[in-house]
Amino acid sequence: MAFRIDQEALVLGALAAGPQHGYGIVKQLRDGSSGLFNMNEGQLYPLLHKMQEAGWIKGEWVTSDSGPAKKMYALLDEGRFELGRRQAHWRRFSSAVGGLLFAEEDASVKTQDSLPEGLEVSHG
Amino acid sequence: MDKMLDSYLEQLGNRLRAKLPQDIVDEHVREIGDHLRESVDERVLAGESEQVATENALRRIGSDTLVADGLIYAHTGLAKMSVWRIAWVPAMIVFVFWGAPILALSAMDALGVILAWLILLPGAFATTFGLACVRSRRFVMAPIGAAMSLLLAMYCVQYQVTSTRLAAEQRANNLARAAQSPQRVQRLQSAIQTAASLQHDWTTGKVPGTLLAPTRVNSADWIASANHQRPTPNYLVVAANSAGEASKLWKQNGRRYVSELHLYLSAEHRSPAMEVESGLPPIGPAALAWAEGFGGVWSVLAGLNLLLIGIPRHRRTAASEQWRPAQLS
Repeated sequence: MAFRIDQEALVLGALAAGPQHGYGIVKQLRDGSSGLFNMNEGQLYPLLHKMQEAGWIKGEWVTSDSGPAKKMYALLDEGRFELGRRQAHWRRFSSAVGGLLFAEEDASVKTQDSLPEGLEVSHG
Repeated sequence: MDKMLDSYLEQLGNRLRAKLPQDIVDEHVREIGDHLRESVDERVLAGESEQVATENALRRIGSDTLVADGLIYAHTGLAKMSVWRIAWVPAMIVFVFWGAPILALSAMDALGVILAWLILLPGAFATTFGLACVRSRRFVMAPIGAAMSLLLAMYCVQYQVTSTRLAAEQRANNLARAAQSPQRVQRLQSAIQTAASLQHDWTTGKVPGTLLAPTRVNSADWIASANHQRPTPNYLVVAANSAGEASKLWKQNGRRYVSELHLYLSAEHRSPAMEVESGLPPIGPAALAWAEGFGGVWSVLAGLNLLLIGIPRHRRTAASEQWRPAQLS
């Protein structure tokens, strides 16, 4: 079973922690989700550029002493606003899905709570 | 390792260069190159050989075509919008060279406008869709569709030009003949009055044929038209001793197209016999049938094509432009 993942929200979330280059974003998403979000790397850059066009993030080449210049992406105010919007949406969505998926368990807990002490509901 | 990466980046650059400015291409190639090298380094550190690490890194990032398509789409939106954007141009051409003349020619007749649009809409859709399909090279039926649509458009334009000229000549000739002969005018008036009195019969089908616009049947208008006192509205009446003679008169006047709007008096009203035909058909019935047939059939085929092939492909393309949804297993 799969729920559709909001890829843009994940990238915005990854960048909320601080500027990252493309490969770093992929790693952060993979490591931060214990390998669950092992995304197709080739689609990252179109997504990043699309988000740049939208004004959510900006990309800048940064040189460092330790290696070659890297293009670092950072969240802009518009991006933070968008992230907040997506977070609110995700909370509503996950709450709704959780309410439906675990409706039986919730009902069972409520029934159990309302039973006199010493009695239990048996399933199956 | 470097050879494989360089080859990949060169291919990517070539694909991007066809659609994007050089500076943007250089930046993308550099960025993707950095990404790949970092990915390879990490895999090598994890214990993979350079060869395997490079192959895996390239596999992970996807083919140069896929990456290039995604980047081009990110900059231009073309990959997603190509069919509909490209359709604008032929749509305008079709409207200007085909739709507008039809509408203009039939502006005097509301029903004509409706009939014209019946042809125009499916035809325009078929033409624009067919051409867009050719441009996008996504749909298997594109060449056939484009050819059929263009033929349809050419046929209708050609018909409009020819029939309009002939109809105008014919109307002028008939009015002239009617006006030249007092006897003919008298017979015509008599025929018209009879015809008007039989309006109900015509519309209910007791007399062979169908009247295109029954509400326009007005004996005063017809008589005035026959007497050349005012422009004929939409119909001309030919008075003759028989339907055959009426038909002959039309043909003598240079008429080449046989209209379906032949209304004959029923047997008991054959004195005088007459034939009523549409004077200036906005779209000839035969052409209408052919055009609607072509347009309708092709519209259905194009619609099925769009539903069965186009949209699924488009969805796959659009989906591939996003990261693949993670599987929650």
